[in-house]
Amino acid sequence: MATMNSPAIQARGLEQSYRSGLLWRARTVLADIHIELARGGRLGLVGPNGSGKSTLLRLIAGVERPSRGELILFGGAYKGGELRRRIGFLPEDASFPRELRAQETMELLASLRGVPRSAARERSRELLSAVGLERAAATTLGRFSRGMLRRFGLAQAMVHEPELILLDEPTAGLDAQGFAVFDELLARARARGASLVIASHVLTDLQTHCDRLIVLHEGGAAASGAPADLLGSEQGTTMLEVEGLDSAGLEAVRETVEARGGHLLMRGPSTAALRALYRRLSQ
Amino acid sequence: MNFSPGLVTLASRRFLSPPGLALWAVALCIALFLPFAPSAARGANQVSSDVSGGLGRQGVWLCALAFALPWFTTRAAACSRQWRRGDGDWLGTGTCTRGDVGAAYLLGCALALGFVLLPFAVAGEWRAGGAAPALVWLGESDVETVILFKEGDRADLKLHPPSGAQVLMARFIVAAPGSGGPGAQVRARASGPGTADLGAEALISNAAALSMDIPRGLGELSLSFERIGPGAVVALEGRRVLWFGRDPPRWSAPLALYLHAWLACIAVAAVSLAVAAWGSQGTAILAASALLALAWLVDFAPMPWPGVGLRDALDLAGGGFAPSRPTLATWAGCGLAMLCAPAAAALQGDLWRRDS
Repeated sequence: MATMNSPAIQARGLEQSYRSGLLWRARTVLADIHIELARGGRLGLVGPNGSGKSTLLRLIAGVERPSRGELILFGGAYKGGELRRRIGFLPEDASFPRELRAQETMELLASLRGVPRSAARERSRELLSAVGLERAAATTLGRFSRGMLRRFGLAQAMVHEPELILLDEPTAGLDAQGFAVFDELLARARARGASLVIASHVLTDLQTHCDRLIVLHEGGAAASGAPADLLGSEQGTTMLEVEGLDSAGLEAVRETVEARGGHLLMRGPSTAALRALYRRLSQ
Repeated sequence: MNFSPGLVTLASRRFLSPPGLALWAVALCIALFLPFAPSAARGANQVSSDVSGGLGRQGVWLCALAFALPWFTTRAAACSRQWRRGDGDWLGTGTCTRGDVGAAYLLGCALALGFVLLPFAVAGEWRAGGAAPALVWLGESDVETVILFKEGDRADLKLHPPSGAQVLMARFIVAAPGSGGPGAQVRARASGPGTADLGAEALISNAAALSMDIPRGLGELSLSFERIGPGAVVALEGRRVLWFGRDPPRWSAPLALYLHAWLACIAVAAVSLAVAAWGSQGTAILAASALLALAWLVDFAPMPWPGVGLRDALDLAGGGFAPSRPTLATWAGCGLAMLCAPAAAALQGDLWRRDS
């Protein structure tokens, strides 16, 4: 029975295969996936290209139907349109209609997700402004850059305030400001208790925003656990971002790291420095 | 059904994309300036004026269809390709079902068609010289073929003119098949309850029309069809008794042609969209074109497929007549074809699946 405590996602033995070629042979891209994500939980999917991350997200989003297995969202409490209203999805290479203006497209997508027409306009304006696209609201999407499209994609995934947010490579193509926008949107979603699934190659995204990771390999779940357990202990490599130190201070950090038997792999300005530079320029 | 006006707008814009509008402009220019009526058809009397105007009107509508049919068929077939190349990612997460999306795209197609065909209706009237056809087609009677072999041969027929028309004209298309020699004189006499004899005579050398006015509300008409002179064998072929009304309203011909063209184009686009949901774009275009060609080439008179009505309307327009508006059966035929698209989309479970 579905309750408020039912998990956001329950997947058991999920499998997806496609048939193609002259002999109509089946090619399995996802096999035997088990997931349980509590409401408000944050799950990261990581794995090499072709490991099945995007397919898994598409199955959860309801874009495709699984070939086998069971997928229950919110304990099966909602069906059809009611369920879709509760899911926000950012596809990997979202092809939003190039013919429409950003504001029009956002309103269309909001109305398709069940937002009433009057509210859709206001929500669209608000979201476009939140991702820094308010000046481009009257521009057709065909004229957007990749980064702008990514910001737009993030905004549309949240326009209806979904309870489950699925993001496929959300930061690919984003600039430093875009990263800040991304962090801000996810913080808002977390604050209202939304569940989150992110597929990404950017480990900092996963470490910052996820409390559990699943590593996919050749369509199967190869490992799962907390980000620190999986990434920290496995590789022994940690990324530090340091603020407010001069070169002498940084030298002291390097000496400390080496004194403890480690190596400083990279040194240079952080993305925060780039963000500060953009802020100065825009002022 | 979850109707999305935004999707309808999007579909309309896609059907009216810049390349489509460029083709549309070219077709409209050709329709406006290409001579359609040969100089021999241009004359001072009423018949030549009707025929010349009719040829102009027909030419314009042929230009319209030469643009609209291939363009809309191709674009409709491309819809499912767009869905499988990314649109499905955002359509598939919306509250609209696949059937709703199919219906919205078809509605968008219908709106776009309504828009692009309108200027052709105006151009058609301009090319027709502003004169309305004097006769509007009301229907035809299915009679058995009558053959008059020699002088004095006679056939008697019973006909039922359409009711409700103000003034009727009956037109019998008579042929002397294969006659290379002198023609044959033929007389038709009609009479009905309470009317004087109505008659017409013609010398038939190859094919000709005998016309006679019929008073309103005549009921049953007795027709005597007689050969009164020597010459070739003469035949009144089955389904060649045509009924016309006189002095139709000014907008009768353009409205009828507009509606026939609109319905036929929508029906073809709907079939194309439906087939493309399951097969390839090429298959969809072929299937829709085949259905259209069948209607054009094979005589399926009772078939409600809108292509049949369009073909007949164009024939009549070329002859200088105003075609009648689409019948209920034609509207129903178009409605059925339109149902195919959402039904095919709804039944295709993997419509949003990405093409790899």
